[in-house]
Amino acid sequence: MHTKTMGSTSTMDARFTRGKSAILERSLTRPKTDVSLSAFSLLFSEIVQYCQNRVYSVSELQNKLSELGQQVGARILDVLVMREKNGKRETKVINILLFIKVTVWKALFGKEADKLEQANDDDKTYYIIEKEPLINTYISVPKENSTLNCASFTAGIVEAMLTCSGFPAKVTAHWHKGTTLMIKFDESVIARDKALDGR
Amino acid sequence: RARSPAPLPPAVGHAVLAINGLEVNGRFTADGRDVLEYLSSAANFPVAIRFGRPRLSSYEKLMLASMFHSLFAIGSQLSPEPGSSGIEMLETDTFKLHCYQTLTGIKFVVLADPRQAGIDSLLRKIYEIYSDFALKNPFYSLEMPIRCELFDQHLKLALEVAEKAGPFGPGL
Repeated sequence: MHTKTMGSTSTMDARFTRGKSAILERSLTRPKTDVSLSAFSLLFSEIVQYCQNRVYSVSELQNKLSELGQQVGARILDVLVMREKNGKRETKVINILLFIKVTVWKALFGKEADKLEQANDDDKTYYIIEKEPLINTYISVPKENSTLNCASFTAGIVEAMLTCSGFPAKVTAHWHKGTTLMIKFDESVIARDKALDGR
Repeated sequence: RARSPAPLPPAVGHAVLAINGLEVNGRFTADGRDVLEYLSSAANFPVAIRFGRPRLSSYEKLMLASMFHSLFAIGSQLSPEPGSSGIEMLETDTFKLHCYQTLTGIKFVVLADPRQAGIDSLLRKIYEIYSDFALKNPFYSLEMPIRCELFDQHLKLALEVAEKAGPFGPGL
């Protein structure tokens, strides 16, 4: 039987990935690479048009964008936790929210989100507020469906990250002080957080 | 898009553009009142009336643009050398028409005062604004009139900057 000694984890990793795909050979620590804003905007514009051709209403379109965002969120969560946190996941609501506001936002958009707030009257509702989200830089929403906010895509990313880290939540995008992502946690999440505090 | 002219006395071919600062479209004011009726009632006096050349309807604009398109094509065919750029500028004693054709064949046309400087950079700026705020906007359909809030905002800003540069170029 093949045995492994401590400290040779990299060779063990390579054993599974060698020759499968170039992307698997790359190290997790990533050099600073930025994607052109134009390329991203054109691609995102096409994504929105693709979704728009397959729905009948504004809310359906927001859901579709959110679903696509969730695909991104679930994947980026793992890589960021490995890269930035040495594989350690957050267990407290406030810590996971700060992780999203600071680390995730820096990785995705190159800067922190403007504000993170808790609703005054509701302990399970939080807001991530951005005055000018990068995703909406070039987008003017037509007057006839002014409630549509393409940041639903970002909302989907955040929703998947929270849900996959064990904080089930619903996240929606709204036009308020720029763009506000409203995060509504599941009752159980807040109850568990309070129980953890009590210890 | 020309600069708003100083108040002119009425002349042949002019129409009422505004009454007391309220815009007039054809026979009616912007809030739907009949112009002649409004002016015939002494109770509304005194009034400030602005005259000028009537604005082109979008149909007329389309027609003139198509005509210019043909002239442009003729211009490039008449060239004795191959690879002519087509008409870049048309000069009259009251205005200059500047045209910039992009690599993909879209034409941007600016009508300006003949003394206005810096139109070339304005045209390139407009091209940039078009590629940013129309082409990257998922709600804009190609070849259709551009109804994008951000496009209008940035275009207005670019025009203000160009206007500040004044007729003799920036710095004066």
